[in-house]
Amino acid sequence: MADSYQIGIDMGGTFTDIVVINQNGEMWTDKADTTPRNLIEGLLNSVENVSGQMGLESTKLLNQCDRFVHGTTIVTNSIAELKGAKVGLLVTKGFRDTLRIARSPRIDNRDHHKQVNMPDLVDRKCILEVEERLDKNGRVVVEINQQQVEKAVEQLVVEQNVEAIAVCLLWSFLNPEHEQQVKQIIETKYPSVYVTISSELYPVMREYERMVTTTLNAFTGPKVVRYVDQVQTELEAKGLKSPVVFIQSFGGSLSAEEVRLAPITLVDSGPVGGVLGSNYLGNTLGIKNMITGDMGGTSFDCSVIVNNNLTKTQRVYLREFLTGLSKIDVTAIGSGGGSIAWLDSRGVPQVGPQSASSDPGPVCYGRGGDQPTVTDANVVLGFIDPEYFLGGRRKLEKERAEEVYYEKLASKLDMSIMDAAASAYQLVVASMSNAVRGVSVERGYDPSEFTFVAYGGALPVFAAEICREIGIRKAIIPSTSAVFSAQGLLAGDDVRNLVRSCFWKPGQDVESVNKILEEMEEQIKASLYASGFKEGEYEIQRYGDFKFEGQIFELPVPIPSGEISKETIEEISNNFAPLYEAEYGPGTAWVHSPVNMLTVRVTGIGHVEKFQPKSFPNNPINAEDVKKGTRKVYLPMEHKLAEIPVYDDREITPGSKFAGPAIIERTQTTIFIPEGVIATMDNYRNYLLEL
Amino acid sequence: MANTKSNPLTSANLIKAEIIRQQLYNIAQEMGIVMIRTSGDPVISEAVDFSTFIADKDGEIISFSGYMTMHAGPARQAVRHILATYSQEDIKPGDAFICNDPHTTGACHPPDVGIVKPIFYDGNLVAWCWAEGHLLDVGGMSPGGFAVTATEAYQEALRFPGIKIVSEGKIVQDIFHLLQANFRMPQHDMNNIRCFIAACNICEKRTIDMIDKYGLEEFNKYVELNKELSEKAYRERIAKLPDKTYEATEWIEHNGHENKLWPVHCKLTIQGDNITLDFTGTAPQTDGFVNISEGTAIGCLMTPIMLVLTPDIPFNEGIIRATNMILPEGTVINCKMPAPVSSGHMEAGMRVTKVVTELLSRAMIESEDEWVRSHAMACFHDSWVVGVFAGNDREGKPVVFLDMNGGGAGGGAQTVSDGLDAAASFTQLSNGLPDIEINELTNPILYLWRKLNVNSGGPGKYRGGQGIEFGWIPWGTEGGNELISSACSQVPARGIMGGYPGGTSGHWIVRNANVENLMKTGTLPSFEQLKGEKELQPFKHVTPISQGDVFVQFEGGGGGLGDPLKRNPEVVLKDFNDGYITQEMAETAYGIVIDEKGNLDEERTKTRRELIRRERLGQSAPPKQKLIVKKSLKFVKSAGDALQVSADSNGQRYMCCSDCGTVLSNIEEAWEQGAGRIVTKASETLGNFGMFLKVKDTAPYVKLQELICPECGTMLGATTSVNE
Repeated sequence: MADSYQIGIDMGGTFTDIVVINQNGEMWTDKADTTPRNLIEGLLNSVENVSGQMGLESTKLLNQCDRFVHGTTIVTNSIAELKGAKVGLLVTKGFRDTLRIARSPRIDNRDHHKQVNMPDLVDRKCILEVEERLDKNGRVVVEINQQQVEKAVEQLVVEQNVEAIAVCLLWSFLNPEHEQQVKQIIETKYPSVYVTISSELYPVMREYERMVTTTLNAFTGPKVVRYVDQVQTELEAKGLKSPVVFIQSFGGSLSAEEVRLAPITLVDSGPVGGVLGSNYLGNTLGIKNMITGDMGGTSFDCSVIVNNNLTKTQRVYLREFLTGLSKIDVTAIGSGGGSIAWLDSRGVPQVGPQSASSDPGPVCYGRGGDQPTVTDANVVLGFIDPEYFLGGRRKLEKERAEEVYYEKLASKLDMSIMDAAASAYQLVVASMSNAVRGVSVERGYDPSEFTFVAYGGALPVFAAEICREIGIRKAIIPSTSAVFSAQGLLAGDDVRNLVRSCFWKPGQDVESVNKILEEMEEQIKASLYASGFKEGEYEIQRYGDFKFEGQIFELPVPIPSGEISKETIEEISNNFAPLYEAEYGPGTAWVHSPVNMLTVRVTGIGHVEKFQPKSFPNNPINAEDVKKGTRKVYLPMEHKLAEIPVYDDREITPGSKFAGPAIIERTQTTIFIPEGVIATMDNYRNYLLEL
Repeated sequence: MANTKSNPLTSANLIKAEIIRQQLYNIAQEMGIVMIRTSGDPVISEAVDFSTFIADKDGEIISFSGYMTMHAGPARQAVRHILATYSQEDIKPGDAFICNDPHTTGACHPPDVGIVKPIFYDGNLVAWCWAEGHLLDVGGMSPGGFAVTATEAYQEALRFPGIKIVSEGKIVQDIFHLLQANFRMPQHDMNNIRCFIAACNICEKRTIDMIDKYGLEEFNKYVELNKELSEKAYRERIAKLPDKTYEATEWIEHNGHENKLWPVHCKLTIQGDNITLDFTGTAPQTDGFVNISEGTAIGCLMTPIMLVLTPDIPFNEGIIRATNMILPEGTVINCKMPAPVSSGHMEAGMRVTKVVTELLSRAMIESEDEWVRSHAMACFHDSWVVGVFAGNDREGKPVVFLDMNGGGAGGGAQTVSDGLDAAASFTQLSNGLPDIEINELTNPILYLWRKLNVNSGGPGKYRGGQGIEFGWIPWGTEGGNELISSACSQVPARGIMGGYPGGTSGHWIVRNANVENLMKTGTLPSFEQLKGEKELQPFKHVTPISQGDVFVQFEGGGGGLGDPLKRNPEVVLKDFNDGYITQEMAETAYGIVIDEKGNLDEERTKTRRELIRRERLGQSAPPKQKLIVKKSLKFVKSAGDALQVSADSNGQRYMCCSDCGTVLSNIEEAWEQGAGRIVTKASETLGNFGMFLKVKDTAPYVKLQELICPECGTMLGATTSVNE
């Protein structure tokens, strides 16, 4: 039988990473430069590169590929850079300024140079009001004026040349009639215009975030539709038979058809691969609770997995825009390898969030960087061998890194260069630990029951110290830590997610709840069937967001499948208080207030086959035999210089153990094992650190 | 390469101090997150009307979460009061105190209820924490707590002077019974109080964990070191201001009973690295609800110090102790019993904030340091506009609806950008406004519009931020009473560096507007389309509101920065096209000319702007003092947008117009003496620009004082004053 392949492509700002795995668990990874002007080029290059490595025609690789998962930053970048389609926005009369008022743009920054008004996603000339009004029961209070809508649409399309139109009317999520009429008018007269109406995309209460979500969808829509079509067409032309699916920020992948309707769901999907990969790894190794950490050039992302369930968050911010999106809950802070160390107004050292990124990059790269970065500190301290960076492909300039640490920090603080670099190291450990504490301790989890999965090129130098700081006892450095995110794309299922406002109070009947749930389920099933899933190959999960009357916070609670009775939902409502207190803490339930439901969520999961990476038998080797030598390292937490052994990852076999202090060198990364920590290579070539 | 001597102790000190500071800040933040998550009350969780602090054992603030800066004063005063009224043996582990009394625990007003908890380690008192939030009702004569008609604090609310609500871990049921008997919405308020207690409990746990890790001695040492670090940086910042004295006055308008003006006067003195804020000359306390106590005054004057002068320095007691404050007793800013206080923080309090913002900015403009100069700013509108509806819904259920859209006033213009729209009062970092749908869902009203308040931003090279306005009709109720309170209607927020004040706030009620009939015929009316009697409301009173009436609230803008004639004409045109300003404003305040096609007429704009400058020269009284300097001068540095410093060959420095270089004064003197002066009625001049400013039709009157360059007519400063 011919091999079958699964391909994952993770397109980042600099590199496009590709991972190929076959049914035997053999894996190939490669990369190509990302080509911002024409993204498809970089994508195709990465396919060529990996097939070259495999010694296989790329057509053959694509032909035999039965799952092709793509993670793209096209939506993230479009919003980050505010480069998108020219959008027209239609709103209820009287509420033209909703996006600008933005529920107040004030943030918690004390520096008012950092407090800025909302950027205009939509040119103010292209926000037009429609005379219509519904009330809080969805009842029509003012009939929609069709002629006026026609005129407004004409003005947007003909005079203003908009490519896309977003429609968001008050209370439309309860009664989509008016928005549907507007949509029909646009589609009849101008079928080429990309239309998003809020009652279809995100039929949930709170007009501001509904309007933002709808507008951002229209803003990114035309570009994404073009890209998705291009990817599918070009890959098909090169022999791909399976459909391309896209990774979404909610976790899991989405079909091209769904992406065309709701491109916004692809936003911020960058960190998803790593989290999915961590959970898959956890499942393989029998680990249930994990904290994931990813440290790149500019940021550190962390997330928590409990009982092999990913943590989700609702109502997320994109830049300064509050949206209604749900996604995997990832906390990001500005601590990366490129983060810059500096002195604040008190003369106290700080690290980040400013970053030298990859261009010009750290000083030691010798490409014009002139600010001391975290990577420079690691070189100064001796963690990174200047001769062996990226497996020796780039020589680093240690002298320059020392000079800049002297000039910017050591000379001003009256301390040694080593201590200055150690300060930067300690501060990075402290801020990453604070972030990890935020997703664990502050949410009521005990870190000692969690395993820290540490990936991304820069993190393995810090991982053990972070664990020590907050009381985590185990860490895993995955075998592919540098391309772990791309590998993780293949670890997810196909996921469809819908959310809709659905009001229910104790005593009310459940007819409308059942109707809404059924409609949503049908929609999700239709989408899964369209992607080729059959009965039995998917599961449906349903949740109701409940809350105490008078409060604004909701908590998703599972709703059983099938038609629900009044008793079922009342039981959920009656049992709500302990669930709420489990999430928000003892004593927080408003025990005397009725429990209402406001929103329902339906998730469809289409199960896909995943190829398990190959396992290697235990064959432990003596540490002395794989020792490359020793190196002088200034241990930053202890402020002392020590001569510690350096081991070569390529020589190490599963089952081997190493006691710290030591360094294990890999081509893409350096793993630091502090004193008192034992590192063991497992059967998948991951390192398990035990504290 | 040179290698300096190694001094790991110093480095370890600094780094450890910083790591401990970050962890304490994290704890204060986590308290905030607990408040947001567990309260779920829109006032707390969305409008973010709360604060959290951590103090050391003596009640000195060591960490602050960054919400509602003005509560720094009350937080500190509450702990001091408890320490002064309880003996050490009576303060026990597991206790928590409830505080809302402005007169003893320094609260901003009685609805701001704070929970204060002592933290013990090994049986010793080691720290305190504070969690406070705005409750919807705390009893007293007025639903919602703004007692417009009160003449004494006794009438305003049930006051808790820092007494135990939790005793050694057990809730004191008596307090809950008391509160249940006195509050209008006891269930709701008690839920919130529980959440403040929960936030304090988290703080206690985390702080103890920290001390476990570092040891008490180390903890105390680094907490102290952090105060020193902040104080040192603050003093260095003060030393960058000129050794000078600056004075300014703001006025409280209307105390609920009568429309008088109460001056809040402040003298800022800089001497080396010392700063003094002296409020001598401020009006005696009054029998209306506009007074504040000392604790609140400290929080209010600290607000601009935190946000204007030291936004980059961690806030703690080091900053407070290095600030000399003279707050005369028995005045509106340090009142004694029985002065009523229930709107004091928005009246006297925000006048303190504004006057200090202005004084600091004026001093900062003259700094040698560019960062300091650039952080001078125009005042925020700095008022929270109150509208409280009290009535019954159709089912007969009582409703108290405090519209959090009151936090939509504009921010002050910056040297780098226009002011923030819908920014709220200056103290309200993280402010949030409600969604229309949320307000309609839970209250018997239907909004007809909510939009930006056109022309509200103070004209300037950088425009003041815009306020919002909205209109609603009773919907699902027979009507009720509306309590109206607007603190900033007649005396606007000032601009700076030649920028004008922002527009002010107020309310309309349109009686018998019959909106329901209009809606049936397909019209959702705007304010202009409304028929019926449009009544501009007195700005502090209670009035009935019935079906068929429309309630309208509009909120003022922040001050502008720089002469509006210097604003890029294209940007003015864009403001006009964006609907932020009217053509009238574009032409009269900004001096641009828009042709018939809607394009900018550059030639005529130039001519008009020149004409306006000449008109100013024609109208102005000559400078009080004219300095003729014959020597040629050299540019030394800029001093804000309107001024620059130049020096002669002897090194004598002069303050000059930045446009034409004309000398205004010696650097040691007040440059205002050398400026031409135009004094007009503020409401008329700003009204001519198309702005709203309520006319004060009885003496004393509110004047606008425009200071111009006597040579070129450029606006150097536009300030408000009062005369009989």
